[in-house]
Amino acid sequence: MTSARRWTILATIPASIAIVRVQTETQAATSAAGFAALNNAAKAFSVLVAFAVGEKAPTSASLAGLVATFAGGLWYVRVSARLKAGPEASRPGKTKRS
Amino acid sequence: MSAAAYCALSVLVSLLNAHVVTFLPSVTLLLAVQAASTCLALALASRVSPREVCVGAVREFPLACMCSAALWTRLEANRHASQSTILVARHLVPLVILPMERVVLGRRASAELAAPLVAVAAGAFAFANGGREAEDGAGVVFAAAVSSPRRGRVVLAAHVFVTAAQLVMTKRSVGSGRERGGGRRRRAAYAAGVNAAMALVFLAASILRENSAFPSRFLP
Repeated sequence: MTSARRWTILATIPASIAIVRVQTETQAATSAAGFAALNNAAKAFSVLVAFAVGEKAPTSASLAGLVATFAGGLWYVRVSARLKAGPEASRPGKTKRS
Repeated sequence: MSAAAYCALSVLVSLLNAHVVTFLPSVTLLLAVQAASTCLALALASRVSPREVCVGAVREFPLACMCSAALWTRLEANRHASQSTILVARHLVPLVILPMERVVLGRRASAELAAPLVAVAAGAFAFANGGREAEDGAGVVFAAAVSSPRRGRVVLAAHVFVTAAQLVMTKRSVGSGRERGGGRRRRAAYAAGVNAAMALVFLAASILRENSAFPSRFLP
C-alpha cells in the first residue's frame, strides 16, 4: 500500500470525528427541514466535486434526471417544512404501538 | 458557520470514503476504528463518563445496528456506483420512509407531499434511463461495477431501505431535537453511546469476516 493511500485512510478518522461533532451541533441549531435542505446541498456539492476530480460526466438525459431529482428533493423539504410548521402538521392516523 | 462546516465536511467525507473503497478490500475494520475514535473524542471533549457511554451503547444498540448497516451499505454502494447515482438513490429515501412511518409511528403522510415525491421518482427514472443508454452499456449508473450492474442495484436498494429504516428508528428513539432537550454534553453523550455500539458491531463484523464466516460476495 502506498504512502498516499495510508494517509487517505488515516484522514478518514479525524474527518469522521469532526463530522459527527459538527452534525450534532448543526442538527441542534437548525430545524429538521433546514438540516434536510443542507444535506441536499451537500449532496449536490459532492456530485459537482466528484465531476471536477474525474468522475465520468452523465449523459444529457441523466443530467436532466439528476437536476429533477435535486429540485424534487428541495421541493419535498419545503412542503414538509410548511406542513410541520402548520397546525395540521401531525395528524396521527392511529395510536403509537409503544 | 456550523452549517457551512457540515457541508464542507460532508463533501470531504463522501469523497474520502469513495476513494478509500477503491483500494481497501474490507471497510469494516476502518469503520470500527472511526466509530471508536469518534466515541473517544466525544467522551473526552464533553467529559462524558464511561458509564454514560456504556448505558447509551446498550440503550441505543438496535439503532446503532441500523446506523452501522446504513454506513456499510453506503460505502459498499461507493464501490459499485458513482456519486451521482448514490445521490439519486438517496433522494428516494423519503418514498420509503412514508409507508414505514405509517406502520411504525402511525403517521399519515399529507397528500401535498405526493407531487414532490413524484418529481423525485421521475427524476430518478430519467437518470437511470439516461445511464442505460450511455455508450458502454452501463454508463454512469454503475460506473465502478460495469461487470455486475445487478450487484450495484442490490447494494443501492439495500442502502435506501436500511437508511429509511434507520431514520424512522432514530425518530422513534429520540423524537425531535426539541423533545430531547439537553445541552451540548447530552448530545455528545448520546452520539458517543451510539458510536461505541457501532464500533462493537463493526469489530464483530470484521472478526467474522476474518474467520471467513462473513460473505465476501461484495468484494471486488
